[in-house]
Amino acid sequence: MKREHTYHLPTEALEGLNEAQQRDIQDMWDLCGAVAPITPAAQRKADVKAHVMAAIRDERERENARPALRLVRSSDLFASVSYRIAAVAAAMVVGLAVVLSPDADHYRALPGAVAEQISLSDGTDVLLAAGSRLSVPGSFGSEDRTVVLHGEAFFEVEPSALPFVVKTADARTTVLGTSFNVRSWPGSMSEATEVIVESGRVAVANKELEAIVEPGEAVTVSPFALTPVETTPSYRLAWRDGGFSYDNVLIGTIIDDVERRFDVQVKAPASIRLRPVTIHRNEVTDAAEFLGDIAATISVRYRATANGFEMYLD
Amino acid sequence: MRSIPDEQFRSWSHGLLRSDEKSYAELFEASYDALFGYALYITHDQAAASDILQDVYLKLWQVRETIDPERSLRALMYQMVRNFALNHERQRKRHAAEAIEDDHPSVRFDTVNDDELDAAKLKENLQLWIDEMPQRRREAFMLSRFEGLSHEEIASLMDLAPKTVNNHIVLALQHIRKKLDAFREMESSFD
Repeated sequence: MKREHTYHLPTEALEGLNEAQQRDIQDMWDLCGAVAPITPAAQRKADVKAHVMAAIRDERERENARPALRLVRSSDLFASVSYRIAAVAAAMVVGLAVVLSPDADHYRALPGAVAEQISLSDGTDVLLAAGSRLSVPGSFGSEDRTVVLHGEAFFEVEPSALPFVVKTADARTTVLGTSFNVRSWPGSMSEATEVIVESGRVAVANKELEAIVEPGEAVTVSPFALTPVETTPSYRLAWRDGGFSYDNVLIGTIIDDVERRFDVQVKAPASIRLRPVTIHRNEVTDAAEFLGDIAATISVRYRATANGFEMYLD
Repeated sequence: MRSIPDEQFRSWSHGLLRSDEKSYAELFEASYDALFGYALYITHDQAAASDILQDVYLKLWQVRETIDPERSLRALMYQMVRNFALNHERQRKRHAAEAIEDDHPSVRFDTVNDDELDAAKLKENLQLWIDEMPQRRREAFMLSRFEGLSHEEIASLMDLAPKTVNNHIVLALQHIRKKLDAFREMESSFD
């Protein structure tokens, strides 16, 4: 590409100067145009290009080699634009209906319990984690099977011709018949929706992209990306039996879970909340014991307070 | 890079988001020369500038999924080059024992006539006068003069107030004026 050296002097540079000074500044600007910037040696540029293009192809091959997500543009899934708009409109109507419809059922798992077991009218079983909410519109089961989740839940979906859709703050998770886990705590330290599939295939989408997630795989959703997560699903689903399992997760996120699970307040400074830990416990019946384990892992101290616990540095 | 419309950059951003190799290759071709020039203002070392660009383009691919098409990809790339180049400079200063590279290949005069000789000599001097400016002044001036960046764009890139950018550019041009006067005076004293 040819370089341009014909840029104009920005007018700001002449402000507050007298005529002679302005002329000087303009002359020098024009004169400097003679100093053409050095263009890169063609061979070296070609080498750099070859190197970076080879590197990105290598990376793509590595990605394809692992059982990765197949990313497809949402727009490619819908043959025509009008169909896509119709789909968006339908989604908005569903969203409004969930909010406005007086006949929507709202389920809530109170803090302090492991989980709430719910059976939906289509036969789908939902295990709702402590502190989570699930809204089921009155139309559920007639023209669609859409539910709205705030928090975390494990779904065992009854097979049916009607797709089962879980909407969260930033994602739509669509299935036919399968079991999978959805986690989405908007406003928390790890707020991206996370979907883990136990059996069957699940389609996860944000506004831009859609990915098919296979059994044993997990994905996190952000507004611009769907990212595969390396995880052991059986561990990550330990919460269903009162377990806690985290692989390199921020302590702040774990504290949120402990607070909901045991209905306690846990105080900790940001310096502790921002530290990632890896910890797995199958059945936890006592908040103090679990927090004590975390504190020991990162060598900080903890103590009981009036309504919960505090983690602190010496 | 100035001549490339924002629309085009947005289209490349979307291309990167969907890991499109073709967009990436186009962006490389369109942006390399200008970014090379910028890396060179900071490092004065052509080999280092190519290494820096290699790192920048690899990094760009690694972070492609986090690119926000609503924010300027052009500004992001200038910022990445600046960060990598300044980092390179810091490391180089730590290993200060290295030999000083020959940054200014001398102009060959043997086959040019007097007028051309004057022009070549003036150009060579201009380059020297630009090079001897303080680093940040030279950077602001070069981005304005040869990349066509606005005061606001330079200010945001270099983390300065737009007013300060303007001061740098005016002072740079006044510096060259002074040098030129002195140069002409010296030339005429030989006549």
